[in-house]
Amino acid sequence: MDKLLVILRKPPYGVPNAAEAVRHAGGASGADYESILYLIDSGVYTAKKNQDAGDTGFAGIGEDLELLSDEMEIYANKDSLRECGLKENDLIEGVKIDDGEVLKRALKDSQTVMIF
Amino acid sequence: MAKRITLFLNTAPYSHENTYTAMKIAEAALEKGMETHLVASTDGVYCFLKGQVGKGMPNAAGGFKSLMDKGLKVVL
Amino acid sequence: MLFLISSSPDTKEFNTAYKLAKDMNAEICLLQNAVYASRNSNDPGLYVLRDDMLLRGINENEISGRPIDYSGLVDLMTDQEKVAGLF
Repeated sequence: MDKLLVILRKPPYGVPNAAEAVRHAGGASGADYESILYLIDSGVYTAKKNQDAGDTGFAGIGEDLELLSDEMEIYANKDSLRECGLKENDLIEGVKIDDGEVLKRALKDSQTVMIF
Repeated sequence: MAKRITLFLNTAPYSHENTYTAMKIAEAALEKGMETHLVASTDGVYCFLKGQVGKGMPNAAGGFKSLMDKGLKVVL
Repeated sequence: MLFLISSSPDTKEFNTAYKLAKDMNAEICLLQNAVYASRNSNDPGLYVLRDDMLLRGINENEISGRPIDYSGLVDLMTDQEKVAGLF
């Protein structure tokens, strides 16, 4: 099975990167790819729990991430979490923390890498 | 005399959150009965294009149209 | 004077705007991605836009600072002699 690595470097709202990253990773996962969504830099804010898009018109990325975590691997970078002041219990269930090893392996093993 | 507020918007509608922020500030100002103006420049003018169908972020044209119906004055 | 800061706290833009505002003894309101900074701040004088906090999963008990709504922000903007926004 082909592997897709989607790296998200931007925060979840204000720019469309997070919504697009989640859409591509989820779509590939449904199309028989083994996909990994990797959150790094400001992208780790996407994993913050209790997001409430309400009637703002923004897509509720937190909710999407929670659903996707059942069908694909989602990682948040440990150093970025520390820089952003996020701890494990701040994160949506299903998001795993990586100290950099998973990222290196995924970059090597994946046929395609998409960076948002 | 009613208070007056003028907002300046110069970013594209779906690459920044400024459009949404400007809409919400304008909405709150109009609710207070303030004379509310918005000047759009550079990529900000794209907020006012007809026929926007994007999803996942607030619709710029639809949002501003409804605010203009409530009294927002826009200059491009 | 009021500074509206919207950039994520890990950006140069945020740090420049925050330092400038402090140097000028200006009021600061964090909005958009800048609201993340309120979780790690010890500055009780900061205003923080409540809607943008809730969108990002940040509750009032997680922050230092004063959450305000859009109506409060408009009052803040119109009461100040000058508004420098959105960094």
